[in-house]
Amino acid sequence: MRGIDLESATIEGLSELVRKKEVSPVEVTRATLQRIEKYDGEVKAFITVTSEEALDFAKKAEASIVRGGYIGPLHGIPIGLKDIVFTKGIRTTCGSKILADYIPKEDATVVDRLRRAGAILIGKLNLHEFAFGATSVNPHYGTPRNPWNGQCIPGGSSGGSAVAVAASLCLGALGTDTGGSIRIPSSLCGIVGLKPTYGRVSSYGVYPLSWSQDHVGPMVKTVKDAAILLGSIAGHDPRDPASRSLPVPDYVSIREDVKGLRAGVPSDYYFENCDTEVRDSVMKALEILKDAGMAVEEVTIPHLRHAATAGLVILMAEAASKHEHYLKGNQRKEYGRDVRGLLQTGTFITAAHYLKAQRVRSVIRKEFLKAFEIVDVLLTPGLPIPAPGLEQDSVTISGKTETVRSALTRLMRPYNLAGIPAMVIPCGFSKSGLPVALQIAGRPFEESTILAVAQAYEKQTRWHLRRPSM
Amino acid sequence: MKKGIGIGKEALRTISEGLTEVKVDEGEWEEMLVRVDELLNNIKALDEMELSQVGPAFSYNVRGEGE
Repeated sequence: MRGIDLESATIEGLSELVRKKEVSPVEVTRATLQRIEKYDGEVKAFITVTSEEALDFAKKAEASIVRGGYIGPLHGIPIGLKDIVFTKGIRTTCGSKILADYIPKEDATVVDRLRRAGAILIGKLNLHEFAFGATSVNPHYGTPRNPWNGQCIPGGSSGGSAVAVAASLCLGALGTDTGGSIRIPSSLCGIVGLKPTYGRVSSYGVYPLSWSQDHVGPMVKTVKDAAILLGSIAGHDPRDPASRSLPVPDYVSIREDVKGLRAGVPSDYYFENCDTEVRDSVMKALEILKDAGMAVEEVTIPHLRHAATAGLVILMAEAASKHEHYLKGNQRKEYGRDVRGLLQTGTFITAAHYLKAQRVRSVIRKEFLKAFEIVDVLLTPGLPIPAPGLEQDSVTISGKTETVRSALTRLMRPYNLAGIPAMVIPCGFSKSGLPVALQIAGRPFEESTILAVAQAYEKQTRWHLRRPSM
Repeated sequence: MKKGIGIGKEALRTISEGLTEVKVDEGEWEEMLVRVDELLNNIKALDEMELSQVGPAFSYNVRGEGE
């Protein structure tokens, strides 16, 4: 056995060592648990660490591999789960006091698939309460800290997942994304986050926030790792009515060039009110992709400015419906004040408002599909700003002030509304040392194209190799 | 108390207690008024869009079926 450097480790690299029996799953798991023990008190990524179960599973994985039963690239690899994904026999709090002692009777479909792939579930990760928020400020379990600057938010709602990956407390994690909740924290913590197409990955056994906009996806250090994790959880699930029955491509065999591909830049919305450092980093990323052979052109999505409102109205109405039972009784007092307020506000959305938002959704989705008749992907900033401070409520960009929530979600929500796949990858750092992300969106069920573009960019740069000093 | 869109606390309380049955604690009404006001203003802005020939999108549309 050799020493394991978890900071530089990726799923792709470590799995090769596991396959060759140069590193044992037990060693990997022990090293990961030691690192969690050492750093999690500081960064608060985990709500529950499943040490005992992880070591038991690691021993079984090791025995199986020694017998020649290697399954694939997740076999013996520690993966974390956002604590909104149900795990049989392991408490699933949803980041809430209301479900503080809830122990599911079955695994979510994605957990079942990870187990079948041989992954070791290392723990349940912190989040914004019930996934309803973009900061991960959590009054019940403590707020996870951005590993690049502990005075900054990690973003949310899958904040613990992003922190755990960025701080190398697990090799990869699952997050959920209803209004950017995979891509926001991935952007702010300098990792790779992928929201697949609506219907590509089962949401069965994941506590709903907004049924028609919820997505489950991977949060990892590299594009190849995203491909590995996505491949293991994607595919039809009859238990999820939104799941689509389509073949799952081999994401791992990613095309590694972008010659002949066309990218659209909807700059009239995505680059308005965008921090200068972010804009500069993203523009440089576009140049790199152009140099790699990609054609880049302007595109227009005419009603994009209405997407954030339509997405928010649908989210708030669906979330209020899901939480109606708690809101009517005394359990309402157990919500954090911000989440209770948002849920209560959602009860004032009328059926006519909800349907208006769904009609806007029809228009915007068609406009995206029309743009994808001309281009293969859309390239935009992930977020208009680097990570805000823990206590910060508002941001001012080019003289215009808006809430942190608005700044973090307005470039994200359009893709939840339209159900199309979108991915963020690190594309630079601000002068203050905070990560900046490029967002790549693609046609429905064409995650492979997004991964190809991301891989081509990653090959030309070294941002993904930077790690926060812990 | 009236806000920009014209909904007052008593109107909201009537809707809340009589229709939605959702309880809002006394100290949280002011924040609620601001949020509802902002939300309704944003929804009103959607009126700029021409939707007369457009039906709603449902989950099966969003996953690419029935279009």
